[in-house]
Amino acid sequence: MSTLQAVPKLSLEELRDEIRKEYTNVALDPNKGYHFHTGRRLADTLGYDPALYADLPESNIASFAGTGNPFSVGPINSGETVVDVGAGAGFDSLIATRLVGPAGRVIGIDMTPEMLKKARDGAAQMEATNVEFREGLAESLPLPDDVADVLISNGVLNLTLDKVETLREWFRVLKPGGRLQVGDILVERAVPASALDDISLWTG
Amino acid sequence: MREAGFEDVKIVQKYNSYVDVPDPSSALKYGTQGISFNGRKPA
Repeated sequence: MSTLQAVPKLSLEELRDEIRKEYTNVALDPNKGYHFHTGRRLADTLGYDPALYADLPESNIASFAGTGNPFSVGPINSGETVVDVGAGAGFDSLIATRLVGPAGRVIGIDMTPEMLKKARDGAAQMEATNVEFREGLAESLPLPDDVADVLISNGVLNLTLDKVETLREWFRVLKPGGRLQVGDILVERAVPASALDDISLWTG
Repeated sequence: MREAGFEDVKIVQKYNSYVDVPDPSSALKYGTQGISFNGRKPA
């Protein structure tokens, strides 16, 4: 798979600020109406087995805003360490806590404080002690090398400016033989240069 | 993906997940779809 390196005039910081604003809104007001679906409808469209999220708190389900289904492209096994890049409100991380079980571990990373709060509140409500949520960037993960059996992510790679460097960072934290299971987007027609500065296309 | 070191990369599923969104953008005009893919770090 090749990865288009689209470069807008927006600076990296401007882009991150806009993404934080958008996903703060998704955390605080998930039903406002966005360029994407959210919550249960989205999970259904993406083929999530409802049994996977049956015991998740409703607020963590409501702010789900992924673009694919990391659980549909490979297993998550008992005892494994899972890193969730751009964990958002914790939907995928909290599902993963059930799959890895008490002998496993889940580390969710996100850059939006309101999402981190929601994810941590959800974990506390579920009494999930095998998960932690850390503030950090997809391009610079607060993790050592070779820590993860599986790296999951859902709708995050498309929000980064340098896809190859971001993927190299994800490669770094995976153990040798570790698995990448990712949801993202595919754009089938060329996006004109004039559209690269349309912030709604980046954040949505 | 391969440039970053991953192997066995493949798109497994595609979704028409942007149809009927509450606040449509031009994303659909460019054929934007959700996807799920996997890959592996060499052992």
